[in-house]
Amino acid sequence: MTGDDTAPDVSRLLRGIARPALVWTAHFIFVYAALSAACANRGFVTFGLVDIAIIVVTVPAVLAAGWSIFRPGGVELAVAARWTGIISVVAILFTAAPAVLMSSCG
Amino acid sequence: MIDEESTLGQFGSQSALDAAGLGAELTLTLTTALHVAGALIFLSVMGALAWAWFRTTGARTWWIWAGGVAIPAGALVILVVGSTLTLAAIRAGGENATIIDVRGYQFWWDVTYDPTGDPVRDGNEIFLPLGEPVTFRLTSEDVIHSFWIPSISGKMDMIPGRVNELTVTANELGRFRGQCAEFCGLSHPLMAFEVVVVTPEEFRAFVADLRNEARDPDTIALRQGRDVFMNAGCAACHAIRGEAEGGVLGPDLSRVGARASLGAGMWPMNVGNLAGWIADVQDMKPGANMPSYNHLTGPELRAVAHYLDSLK
Amino acid sequence: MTDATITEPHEQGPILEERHPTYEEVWATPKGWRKLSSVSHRVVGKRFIVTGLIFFLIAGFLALLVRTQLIVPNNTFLDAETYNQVFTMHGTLMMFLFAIPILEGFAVYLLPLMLGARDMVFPRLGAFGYWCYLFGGIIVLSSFLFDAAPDGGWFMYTPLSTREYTEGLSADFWLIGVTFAEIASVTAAVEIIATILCTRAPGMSLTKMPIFGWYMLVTAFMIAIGFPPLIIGSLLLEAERVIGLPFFDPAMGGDPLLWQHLFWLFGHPEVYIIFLPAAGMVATMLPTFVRQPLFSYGFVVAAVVTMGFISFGLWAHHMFSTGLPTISLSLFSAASTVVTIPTGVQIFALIGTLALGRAQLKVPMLFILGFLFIFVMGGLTGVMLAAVPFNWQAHDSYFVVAHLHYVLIGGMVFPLIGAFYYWTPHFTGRMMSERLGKWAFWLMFSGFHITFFLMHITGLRGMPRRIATYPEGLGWDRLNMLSTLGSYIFAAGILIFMLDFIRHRWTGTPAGRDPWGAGTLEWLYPAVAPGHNFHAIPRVTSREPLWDDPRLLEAEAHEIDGSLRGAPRGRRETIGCHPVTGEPHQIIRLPHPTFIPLWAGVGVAVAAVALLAGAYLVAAAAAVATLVIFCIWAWEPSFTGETHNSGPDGVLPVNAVSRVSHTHVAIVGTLLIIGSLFASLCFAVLYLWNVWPSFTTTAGLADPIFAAAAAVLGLGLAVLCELGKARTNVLADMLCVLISLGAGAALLWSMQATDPLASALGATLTVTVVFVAIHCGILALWSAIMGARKLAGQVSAEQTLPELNRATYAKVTGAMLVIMALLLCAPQLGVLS
Repeated sequence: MTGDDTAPDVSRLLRGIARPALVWTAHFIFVYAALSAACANRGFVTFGLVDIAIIVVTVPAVLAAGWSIFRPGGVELAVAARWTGIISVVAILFTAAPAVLMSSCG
Repeated sequence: MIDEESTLGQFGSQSALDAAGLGAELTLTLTTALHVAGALIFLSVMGALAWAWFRTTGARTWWIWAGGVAIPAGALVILVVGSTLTLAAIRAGGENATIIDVRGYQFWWDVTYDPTGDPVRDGNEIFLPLGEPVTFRLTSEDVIHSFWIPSISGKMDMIPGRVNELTVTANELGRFRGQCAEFCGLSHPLMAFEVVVVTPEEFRAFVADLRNEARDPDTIALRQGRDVFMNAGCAACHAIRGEAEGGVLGPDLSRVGARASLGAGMWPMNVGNLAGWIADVQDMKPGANMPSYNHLTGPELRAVAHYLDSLK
Repeated sequence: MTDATITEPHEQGPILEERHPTYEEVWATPKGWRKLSSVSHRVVGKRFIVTGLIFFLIAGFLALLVRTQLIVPNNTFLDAETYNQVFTMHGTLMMFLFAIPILEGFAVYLLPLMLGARDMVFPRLGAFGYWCYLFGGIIVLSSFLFDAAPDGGWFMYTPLSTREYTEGLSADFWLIGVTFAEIASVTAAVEIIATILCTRAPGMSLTKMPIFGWYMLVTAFMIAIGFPPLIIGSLLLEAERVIGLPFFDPAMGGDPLLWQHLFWLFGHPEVYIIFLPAAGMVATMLPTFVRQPLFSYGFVVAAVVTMGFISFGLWAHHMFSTGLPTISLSLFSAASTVVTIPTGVQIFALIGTLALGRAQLKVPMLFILGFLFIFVMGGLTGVMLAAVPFNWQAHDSYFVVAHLHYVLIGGMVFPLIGAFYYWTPHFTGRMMSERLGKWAFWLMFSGFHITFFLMHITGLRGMPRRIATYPEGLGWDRLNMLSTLGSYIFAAGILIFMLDFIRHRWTGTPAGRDPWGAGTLEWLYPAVAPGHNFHAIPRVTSREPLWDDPRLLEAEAHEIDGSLRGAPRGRRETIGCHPVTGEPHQIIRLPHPTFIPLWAGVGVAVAAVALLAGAYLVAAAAAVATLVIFCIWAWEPSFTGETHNSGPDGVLPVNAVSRVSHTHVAIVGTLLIIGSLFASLCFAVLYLWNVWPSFTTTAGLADPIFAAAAAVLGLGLAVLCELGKARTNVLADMLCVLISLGAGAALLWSMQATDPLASALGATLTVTVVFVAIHCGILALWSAIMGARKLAGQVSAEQTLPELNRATYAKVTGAMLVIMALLLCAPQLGVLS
C-alpha cells in the first residue's frame, strides 16, 4: 500500500477544494433564507436586522473560503484548491452585495 | 367569413426595439450596451482562439486568470451595477401614478379604470395617458398569464392569488400591441390586446365617457339585435352598461364597437367578423369559455352583430 | 462459490484452472434473447446511447413540425392543440429522455474503461436504471397513441397543469412517465459516484484521474441534489390532480409559485448537468488532437467543482417577471452572473491547450470548434438575461428560445456529435467518415445559425414563445420563414450524421488500436474488444497513461501486467480503490448476467401504468411485487471475509465493508438524494408558511408528545445502529425493526388533527411526515432482512457485515425524525406561530 503516506495529504487537499464551495453554499442559503424571512408576506424579521446579519456572516464566510487560497501549493490539486477559493470568494461577495447595498426589500 | 388578408398591417408595434415608453426606452439603452459589449467580448474570445490555433507558443496560467476570472469579474460588476441602476430608474416614480387593474382570463383581459375610486370596466383595449405614470395592478382569475407591451415596458406575470404591480409611462402617442407572454393553454397565441396612448385630457375624457350608459338602440334592426343578445343569454357573462349589468365572466361590451379589434387583439372589428365570431368562437379561439352560437339564424347573427357594432 | 481452495494465494500470471470458466467466458455477453439479462456497462451504456439517439430523432422531428407550423403567419398546418402537444413533447423528450440519458450512457460506457475498472461498480443498478428509462420514455411517448399527449409545456406550470384546467390523462402521462424515467438518472448518479470513487486502477489518485472523471463526478453529485426537487414537485402535483391535496391552490393557502421554485431548483442545475458531461468530453477529446495534455488541469477541476455548486444558486432568474421583491431580483441577478467565471476558466483552459501545440482538424475537432463558437455566444446572451430589465423584455420571447438553443445545442449537441465521431470506433471497431462528417458539421453549423441567430431579433421584435400561430405584419414573417428554412438545413446535417453512423457499420475503415493516438486508458485495447475490459488492471502513474507509459502500447493489450489477472475464481471481479489515493484496498465481486433488473423495471412499469389507468389495486400489487423482487436482489450470498491474492497489489479482502468501500459510498450517495428530497419538502413547508401566514392556523397543530416521541425513538435508533455498526445479533436487528416502526407510527400518529385536504400547509406537512415514515419503514425492512439472513445461516462468523451502512442510514433517518419533530412542535413552542 504505497499510497498510505500520501493519503492524508491528498484528502486534505480535497477538503481544500470542497470547503470554499461548501462555505459559499451555506452563505447563499443563509442570505436567501434571511431575505425571504424579511421580504415575504409574513415579515418574520425586519430588513435592518437581516442587513446587519448578512454583513456579519459574510466576513467569516469570505475568510473561511479564502483560507484555501493561501494553503501551500505544489501538487496540482493544490492549484485547484486555490482557484476554488478565489472563485468562491468572488461568488460570496456577489451574493452579499445586493443585500448590503440596498436598504429595503424594494 | 374572416377576412385573413385584412389583418395586414392593422396592428400597432409590438417590438421592444420601437421603444415608446420609459421602461422600454431605458431597457433599449441597456440592451444596446449589452449587445455591443457582448459582441466585443465574443470577438476577443474568438480572436484568442484563432491566435491559439495558429500559434504554438505554449500557454500561461495568467491567460486563464485574466480571461476566465479577472476580466469577467470586472465586466460583471459593471453589468450588475448598470442593470440595477436601470432597474431602479424603471421602478422610480410610481407614487402618484394612475391605477388601472387588469385581470387575465383564458384568453382575454378584463380592464378596470379608477379601481380605487369609482371603478369602471372595459376589456381587451387599454388607454394610457401620454407622459404620466400608470400603475397596473395585475392578477389572474384562472391560470398564469403575463402582461407584456414590448414598446412600452417589460413584462409582468399575472398569477392567481397574487397582485403584481407594474408601473409604466408611455412617451409616444399612438397604438401599440400587447400580448400574453406566459403559456396559458389552447388559445395562448390568440390572447393579445391593443394599447392606445392619448393625451392626458383625452384619457380623462375617455374614462369619464366610459361611465356613461351605452347608446340605446335607435333603429328597429338594432333593437332586434339587442333582443337577440338578451334572449340568447349573452348577458349572463357580458355586461352592457345601462342595458345588462352584472355579467363579469366575459369582456364588458359597453363600447365593443369602438374597439379596433375583436377576439382580444386578433381580428379587425366589423360587423362581418362579429357575426362570424359569435357563430364560430370555438373555431376561431379554441378553448375559449364562450360557446359557439351556431344555432342562431343568419338574420339573428346579423342583427346582434350590428347591435354590438353600434356600441361605441 | 465459497469453497476453501479459493483463499489459497495464486501465482501472478495467466492461470489455467479447469474447474472454472476462462476469463473470456466469465465476461462473455449472453447471446440471443438472453442478452436482455446482460448487466455489462458496455451493453447498458450502448442501450442508453442508442435509445437516447432514437428519442433525439423523434424530438428533432417534432421540432421540424414546430418550425413548419411557424413558417408563415396564420398557418393551419397544425391546430393549436397538436402544436401545444408537439412543443411540449419536443422539450420533454429533449431534456428528460435525450440529453441526460445519452450523456449518462456515454459515462456508463466510458468511465470503467478510462478509470481501469472491469465494469461499473453496481451493474444491476445500471441495468435497472436503463429499464426504468426505457419504460418511462415509452409511457411518455405512448400518450400520442391515446390522443392524450401532454400539452402544458415541458415546465408544466400550475395551475394550468392542475385537473381544473387540464382534464384527462395528458398531464398524468407526463408526471408519471417522466418521474419514472428520472429513476434512471438518480440510480446512474449513485452508480457513477461509487464507480469513480471506488474502482479506479491501482495508483490512479484523484490528481491522476482523467478530467472526464472529474466532470462526471461533479455531474453525478448535481443529479443527486438537483433531480429531487422536481421528483417532489411532480409527486405533489400528481397528488393534487388525483387526490385533491391543494399544494398549488391559492384559495387553500397553496401557491403556483411553489411549483415554479421546485421546478427551477431542478431546471437550472439541469442545464449544467447537461453541459458538464459534454464539456468533459470536449476536455478529453481536444488534448488528443493537440497531442498535449489539458492545460491547467487543476484550474479546470476548480472550475468544474465551483460550477457544480454555484449553478444551484440561480434558479429564480427564470422567475424575474413573477413579481419577486427587488432585492431578490438583485440577489439572483448577481448570483447568475458569477457562473460566468467558472465557465470562462474552462473556455480559456481549452484555448490554452490549443496554444500548446498544432491541432489536427479532424471531424471531432471541428465539432469542438463549433462548440466553442456557439457556446460562447450562448453564454454571453445568458449573461445579458441575468440583467433584470433586459430579462423583463426578453423572458418568454424568442430571444430566450435562441439563447437556450445556443447553450444546449452549442454546449451539448455539437460536443455529442463530435464524441460520436471520436468514440464510435470504440463501439464498433470502424471509423466514421471524415468527408461525411465535414458535410454534417457545416450543414449543422450554418443551419443552426440561420435558425437561431435570427430568433434573437424575432424575440426583441416582441414575438412570445409557445404560440401556435401569429398574425401577419408584426415584423416576424420573414424572420420565421428563414428560421424554418435554417432548421431544415440543420436537420439535413443530422440526417447525414445518421446516415454515416449507419453506413460505417459495414463500410467504415477498420480502426486499429488507439486510432486517434489518445492518451487515456479506454484506448488500451484494440477496438472492438469482445465484451471485457482488462485481462489484468495495469498500474497507472499519470493522467495520460498511453502517452507516458510506453510499455502499455508496446505489448499486446491482454499481456500487460497488472492486478487481478484473469478470472481465477470464475467470478467477475474488479479492483476496489481508496477514493482519494487510488490505492487498491479490496477486490469487488461483480454480478453476472441476471434478469432481476429487468423484472424490477417491469414491476415498476406495471405499477406506473396501473396508476395511470386508475387501477390502484393493480398498482399496489405491482409495487409489492417490485419490493419482493428487490428483496430477492438483496438476498445474494455475501463474499466478505474472503481474501485473495490480487497479484502485484498483494492479498486483498473481497467486498470489504469500511467507510471508503463502494457500498458505503453508494449509501452516502443515496442519502444525498434522500436528503435533497427531504430538503425539498421542508422548503415547501417553510415557503408556504412564510408566504401565506394567514393559512398557518388552518393547517391544524400536530400532537407534540407523539412528535417528540418519534424524535427520541429516532435518536435511539441512530445510537443503537451506531453501537452495532460492526455487527449486530438477531435480537438487535429485531429491536431495530420495532424502534423504526414505532418511530414512523408515532410520527404519523402525531398528525391526527391535521386535515391534509383543508390547507396547502397541512397537505405539505402530511406528505413530509409520510416521507419520513417511509424511511422508517425502509430501515425496518432492511433490519428485518439482516436478521433473516442471520437466522437462515446466510452469514458466517468471520464475515464483515453491512451494519456500518445501516448505521449511516439510521443516522440520517434519525436526523430527519428530529427535524420533523422540531417543525411540528415549533408552533407549540410559541416561536414561529
